[in-house]
Amino acid sequence: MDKLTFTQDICEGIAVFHLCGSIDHHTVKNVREEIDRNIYRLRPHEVVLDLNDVEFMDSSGLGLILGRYTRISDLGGALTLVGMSDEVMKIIRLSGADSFIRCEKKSEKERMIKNA
Amino acid sequence: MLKNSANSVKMQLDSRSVNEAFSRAALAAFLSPLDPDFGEMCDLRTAISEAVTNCIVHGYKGNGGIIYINLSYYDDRTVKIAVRDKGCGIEDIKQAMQPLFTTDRSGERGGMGFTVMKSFCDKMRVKSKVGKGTSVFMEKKLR
Repeated sequence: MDKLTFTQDICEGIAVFHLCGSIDHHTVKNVREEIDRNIYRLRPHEVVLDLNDVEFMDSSGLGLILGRYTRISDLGGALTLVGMSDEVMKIIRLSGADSFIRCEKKSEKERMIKNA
Repeated sequence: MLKNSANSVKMQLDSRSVNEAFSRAALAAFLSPLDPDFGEMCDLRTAISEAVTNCIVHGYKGNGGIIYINLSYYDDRTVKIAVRDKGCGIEDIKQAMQPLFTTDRSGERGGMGFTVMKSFCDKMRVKSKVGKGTSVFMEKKLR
């Protein structure tokens, strides 16, 4: 799928954004602003980007992740990435972003939230 | 027709971001007779996506233009991808190719485009002239 959509859940101050589709320079544009609007409205102490249903990501996705990391850090919060495929993780590792952004196994964070 | 290529395709795309996905789909269709494995296909789709995005964002700076793409493969399963723009060109190619370097000031560009292309292909070369445009040549031998 060459579109990008997302749904969100909020639970106990953790906002989970489930991204679905392809993340490239074209698709990231609309999603980025909408995610930011939700971050500033909800003021979560943690943002989780669930990439479980992301079937493609190039370095524009890195820009999306790093930009959200900056936004949530400015608000004193943390960013976690979950559900990365091997291919998506390859790009994240290339940038070294996994050294300062928490990357967790598939849906682990979501299971934690559901069990809370 | 490229000398000794088993197959080749030339495309001209409008410099529109919606064509990033088209370039990936076109490459996948072109390479399907070679039956590349999933990882190889992902690598090459990502590489072409990066190159086309660079043309749009940096070469033509979001304005109009044409992106020229040459795809070819050879009997030894070497795939060659050439992506060219006639945009602004790169002043310092070495600097541009440094990981995380970007001329974008919005804070939303990762600056990893060339790094990804270089890492996902066996060979990658950039030719550019300020005011004339940029060409990126990528090569990968499939298993």
